[in-house]
Amino acid sequence: MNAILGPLITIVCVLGAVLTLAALLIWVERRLLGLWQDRYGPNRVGPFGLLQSVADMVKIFFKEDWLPPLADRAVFIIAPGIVMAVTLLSFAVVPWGPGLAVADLNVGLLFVLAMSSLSVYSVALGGWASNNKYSLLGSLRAVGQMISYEVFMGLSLLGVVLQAGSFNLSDIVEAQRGLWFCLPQCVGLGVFFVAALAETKRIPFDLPEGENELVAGFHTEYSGFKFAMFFVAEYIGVTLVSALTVVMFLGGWLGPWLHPVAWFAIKTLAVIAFIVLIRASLPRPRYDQLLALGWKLLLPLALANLLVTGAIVLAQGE
Amino acid sequence: MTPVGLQHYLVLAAVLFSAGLCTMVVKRNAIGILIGAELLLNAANINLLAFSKYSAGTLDGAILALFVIVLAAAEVAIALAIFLNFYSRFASVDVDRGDQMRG
Amino acid sequence: MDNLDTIVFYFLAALALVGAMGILVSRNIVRTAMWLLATLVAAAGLYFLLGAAFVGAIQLIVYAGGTLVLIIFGVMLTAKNPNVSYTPRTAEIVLGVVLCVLLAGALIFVLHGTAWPNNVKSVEEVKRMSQAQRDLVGPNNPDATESTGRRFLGDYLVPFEVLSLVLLAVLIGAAYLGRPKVPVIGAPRGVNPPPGQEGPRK
Repeated sequence: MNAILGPLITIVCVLGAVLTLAALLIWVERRLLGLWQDRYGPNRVGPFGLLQSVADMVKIFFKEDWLPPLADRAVFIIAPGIVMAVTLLSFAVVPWGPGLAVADLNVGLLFVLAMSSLSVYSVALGGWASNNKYSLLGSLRAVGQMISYEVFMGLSLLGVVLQAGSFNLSDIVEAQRGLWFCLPQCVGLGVFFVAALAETKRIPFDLPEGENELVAGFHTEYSGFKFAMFFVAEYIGVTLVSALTVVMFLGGWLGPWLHPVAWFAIKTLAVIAFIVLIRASLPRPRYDQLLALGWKLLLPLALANLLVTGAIVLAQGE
Repeated sequence: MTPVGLQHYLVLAAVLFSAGLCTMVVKRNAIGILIGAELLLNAANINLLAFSKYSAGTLDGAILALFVIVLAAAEVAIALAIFLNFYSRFASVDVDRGDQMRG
Repeated sequence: MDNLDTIVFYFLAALALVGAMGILVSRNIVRTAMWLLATLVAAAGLYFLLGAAFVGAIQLIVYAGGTLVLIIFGVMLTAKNPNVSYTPRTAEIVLGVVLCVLLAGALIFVLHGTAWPNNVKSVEEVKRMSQAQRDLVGPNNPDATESTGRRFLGDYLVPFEVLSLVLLAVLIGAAYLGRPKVPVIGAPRGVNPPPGQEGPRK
């Protein structure tokens, strides 16, 4: 029985932690934005406004769940479910501490990349099924942006894979015992971070939902709980890329004195705070600038990084 | 239940292959035909990996499957570029519209 | 454990078959693509079940995450009315379905009459092998991913390099086929065709 019960408990813990964190993140982000923009942010509901997310959720549950009359109903309903499912599935392979992962896959990193590439569907299909011009434009933008930046994300991580000699995320963390990969792989870290921001469609790269051009982009027609799923999935995505940054470049759970899981949490929260700071300070580029940045700067950088890392690893191996 | 073996995978792949072929025959939408072709390639891949696991016991099946996946991506890229040209000329992706060269 | 594998196999096989039938029956092209997504994911699951985790992951990344997205992109660009469907004649449908059912029946008949050889090495046998021998083995190989990499740069080096040439050719070909046919306002030099050589305007 223990063979089934043990993993089940881990799964419930991870799901609970991730979903709570995502809900809390909505509050954290608004408070931090307030701090950096010299205003208060939500501070009325509960101590320091901590229960703001609960109030938001209650509000969203009681909103009218509206379906556009000409929408493709089945696709419209499935779309937000896809993004929720695949982002949560990615957490299955993230190691929170030594031996603390739901599934210790040998191809763990590839699994995360595969899941993040599947999340394109929810955006593409959601925007298409809405039968709205703004939504369709938003989802066309999102598809172009996400399949481009997936390439750079994968390439930038390959340097780390070469150095660690494994796709297994736990092995990658263990390989950083002497030196975190953020130093030898600083180029990879930079490329990965930009690509990750674009993958999560966060503010400097939020062209698919740029509200002053496209109303709300691909989720214009969504309301109620289906909108909440898109909204929460964005924050789960932010948590995911932060956790992935920590695992790949910042030594995962490694650190002195504290419990490994505590180190992991601290590092992840620090990366999340940095992502929020970027949102508070950077403007949005034009779409052609976004693609030019990717294909003309990030791609050559990532390839050069891969080449140099490969050469060094080969030289060391001999 | 009988344990799953080679036959199960082969039968599944055979049905998928026939469905893919049928899709290619029946559809008039060029992109639908392309999707049928993808189904054929996947049926072949399932066969390759099933033989690799249950019969040959070598890695070659997996390697061939990887080749197939990459070539399928290349095929789709070219086919879609052609369809977009077709669309800009005929305002449709109905393959029956492209019969201008028939004698 | 074997029981669990059996259940998972039947679930994935059912998903793949439902997807295939959906592709066949669906009139709406985006629905067709969604059913293909179901089949691709089921096939990836089957690859994981067959012990080829690397192929399964690549299937999800390249096939489901790249190729099919490209197809959906194409659908969005070519469907003026997304609900438009092209219907062939009934006789054609009947003929096609009958032929394909016959094909499936013939294939299954042949498959049941054939005895396949079994050269699969057990885990212990693989453990006793040298590195070079182990690279040839697929199932029960603990480092199958690394072996795949070595084989690609060893026995399969020439096909591998030819494949990269094919990809380069496809890149150039797709860019050429997709070039703008009418001058784009404000495009950088070289994107627009030179004056007098524009394609037909439609």
